[in-house]
Amino acid sequence: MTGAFLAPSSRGRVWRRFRKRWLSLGALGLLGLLFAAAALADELASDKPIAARVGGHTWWLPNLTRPLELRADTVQTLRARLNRDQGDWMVEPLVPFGPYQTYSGQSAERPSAPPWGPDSDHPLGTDEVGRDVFARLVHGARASLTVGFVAVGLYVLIGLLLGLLAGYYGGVLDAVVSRVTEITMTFPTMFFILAVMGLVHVKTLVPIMLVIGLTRWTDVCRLVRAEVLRLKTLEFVQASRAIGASDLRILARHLVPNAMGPVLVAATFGIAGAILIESSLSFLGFGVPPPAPSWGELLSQANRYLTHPGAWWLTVYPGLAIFATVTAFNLVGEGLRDALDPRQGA
Amino acid sequence: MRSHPTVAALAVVAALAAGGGCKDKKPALAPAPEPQKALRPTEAWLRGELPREANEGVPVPGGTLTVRVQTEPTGLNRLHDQMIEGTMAKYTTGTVYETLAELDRSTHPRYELKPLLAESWDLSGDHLTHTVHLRHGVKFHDGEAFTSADVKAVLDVVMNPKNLTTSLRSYFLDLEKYEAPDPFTVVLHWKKPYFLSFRNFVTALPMMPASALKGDFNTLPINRAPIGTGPFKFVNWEANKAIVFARNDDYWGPKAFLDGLVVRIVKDHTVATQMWERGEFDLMTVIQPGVWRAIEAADPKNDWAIAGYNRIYFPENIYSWIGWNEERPMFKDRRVRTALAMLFPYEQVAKNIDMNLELPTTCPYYRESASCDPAVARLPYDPPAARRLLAEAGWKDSNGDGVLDKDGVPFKFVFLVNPHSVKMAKLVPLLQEEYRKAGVELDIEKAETAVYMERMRSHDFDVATLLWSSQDPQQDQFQVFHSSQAAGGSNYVSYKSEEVDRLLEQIRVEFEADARAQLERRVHRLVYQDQVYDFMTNRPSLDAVKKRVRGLSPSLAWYDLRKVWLAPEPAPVPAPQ
Repeated sequence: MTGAFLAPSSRGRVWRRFRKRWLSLGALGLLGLLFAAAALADELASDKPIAARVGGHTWWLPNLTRPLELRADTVQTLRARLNRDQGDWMVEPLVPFGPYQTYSGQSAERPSAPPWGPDSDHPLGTDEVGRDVFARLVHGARASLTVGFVAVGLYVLIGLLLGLLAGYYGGVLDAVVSRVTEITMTFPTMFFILAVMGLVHVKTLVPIMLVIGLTRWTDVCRLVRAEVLRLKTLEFVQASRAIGASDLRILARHLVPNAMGPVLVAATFGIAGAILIESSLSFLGFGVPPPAPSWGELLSQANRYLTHPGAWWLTVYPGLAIFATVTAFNLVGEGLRDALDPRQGA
Repeated sequence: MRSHPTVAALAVVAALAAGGGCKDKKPALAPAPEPQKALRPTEAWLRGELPREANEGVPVPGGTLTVRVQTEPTGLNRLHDQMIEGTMAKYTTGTVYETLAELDRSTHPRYELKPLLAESWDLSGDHLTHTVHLRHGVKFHDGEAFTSADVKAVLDVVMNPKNLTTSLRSYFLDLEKYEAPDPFTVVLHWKKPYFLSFRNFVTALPMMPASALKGDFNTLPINRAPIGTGPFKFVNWEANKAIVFARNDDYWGPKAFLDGLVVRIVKDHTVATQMWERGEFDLMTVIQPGVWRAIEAADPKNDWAIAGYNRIYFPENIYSWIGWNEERPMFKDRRVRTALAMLFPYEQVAKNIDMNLELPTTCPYYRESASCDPAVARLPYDPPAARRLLAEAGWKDSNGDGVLDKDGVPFKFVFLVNPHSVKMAKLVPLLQEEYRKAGVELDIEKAETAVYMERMRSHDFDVATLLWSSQDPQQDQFQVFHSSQAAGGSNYVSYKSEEVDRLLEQIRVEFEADARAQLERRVHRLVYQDQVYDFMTNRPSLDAVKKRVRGLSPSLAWYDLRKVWLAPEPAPVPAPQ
């Protein structure tokens, strides 16, 4: 058996093959960076310091704990209160602005209304409400990645389950699952989500993730079903049935691990797709609830600043973020597919 | 004849500033300025005032005026509820349709009545009988003569409760009967006197031929192809593209100068700006504040605007407000509403969101009218005072979670936002930040326009925002602030004040303008004191018009297109070798 992804022996082989594709490897590195940025968003950009001692009081990680005493304070106001002679100090985030901080307390110094272009304060500029684009981007990465992983996780689960049952038991069950799959495939996901988002008034990402999860499982289901149909006739499945293994054991121990390869590849591409859907929805104003940061939301602002007055930074940076993330997931998916393909030499 | 006192005065100021500027800039000894420098906007251009030459010269007939509009109208039948509002109403009133009287633009800011399809009228001393004598010799665009039967037919349609004419019908709720004793006389009998009933009657009803009003009101052919008596007649409507009008050569009055009028429908502001830059509009409307400010910068890439267009900045009779739903216990207390108003960072908003283009207001009436009390001062932006006021009203953070609470209820509410509003997209995150610092939590909920209005009407909101607008500076605030109007009227926030109720009732039967203004100023003081709304700003219209367009001047009743003409294009100057 070749595609045994979870079997320890082949896991090493897959990694060795994957490693040879430097493009996919680079993409994986990029995704690692993205995850780190999303995880450390509050250290990279926040309106509260990472640690500070101001006026004799020491705070550790106020950017995460957001203590009440500092509710009206920002890095900028603390900076003004900092008295270094008294032993005060402050560890600031990389960019000292939070994703919700409008005008960043400095509009008085700026002659014109935002969006303000990149400068030493705001390395990637600000949006139309004076919020730092870098801060919005790193915090927006959380929304993108959450939608990508949760939605895809959900549909992999549904697809895997239905595919296994249909493929393994066949008969009426297979016919029903296959027809439901075909019907679901005819749903235009984007319009379906738009309709759902227009109806529900939940101010979270949950409906988006649910709809993607509930409409996009069909590919996984068909892949798994085909794989199970093939696998269940092979000797090792016959053998385990012969020694009296239960259906559950055969499904869980033999079929799932062997069918995981193609599912993993589909999931990787799927995450890219889900991130694009979230961005498109936020672009249209149906995505993350305001004022939550999202890449698509930044792009939708950019739409208002294409010319007079132009604000290229609102187009370029979120555009690059979406492009790089989607490309990276696709490259990793491609690398994974090739590495899992038994016809490729080891 | 064509003098518009205030507007003319503005133009004179503009011309003086421009002239003075030029003289200062070109002393005899100084080197001649480069051609590009000559294009630098003058003060008047920057302020958006029309130069004197824009209203000078001998009119010549001919040419077509292309106007940009932002929204496609549902239809052009101005009696229908769904077609009465919106921009297109402006473009058909006075052009295609005419009313019995018009608002006299030369009497800005009072806008007195001037006969149009009526020749004269007699009003009875008890204000209950209005007799209107119609103009003779007026013809509809379809050739039929205009008579009292048409006025009656229009009233029949409006008064028919089966028709979607509730907006107009609301003006005639106290109408007892109407009759047409002869072809050129119409008589209205009212049950109660009301200071606006005659004005509403003669200015709100566009006249249409009786024959065109027969049939199912929702599917009348005139909904798509209007027939009126005006100086322009409808030619063609290409959905989502353009509506075309041509001069009515059988017009009863002085004929229009323009051959035609093309209304181009361009929804997207960015696309519209690009088309404008290519010179595709003679009259560009709804310029976005950001664009308005961007083209002011001394930059050669703005030369097209400075060289080719005059800008028109005109504060309209529109005000924006944030309304606190007083059916919610937390907003019942005036101190709470006042505190929230004191958390409104209006200087920040004026500079960064309104780009100093909107005019702060505290008044529900027209800012230039005598109905606003100039002594009412805006509440200051004062977060510490706001916090004290909230504490006084019993809102304290008793459980230490950073959010104020009272009787176990946290101070949290939802701000209903229209997703199409650029201003709200900018304003609400800022308010959210300001409120959070004071321990007040604001959530945002988006609702599409239709849903939004439905939620307002059914009072299903905590906080919401709207604009009130009126073309007529003579307004009745009864619908908006009278406690009886909380059910079914426009008092969406359920404001109740006995004193304001009494004043509003008095105003309705006060026919003397000065005495009415006195009462209205008291209403202004009271509704601001009570902070019924967080009054925000009066919104200007931001338009630009090609320099060759003459005779156009802004007013609350929009531009008078009967007087607009195009100066001949200058002959191309042969370039020197």
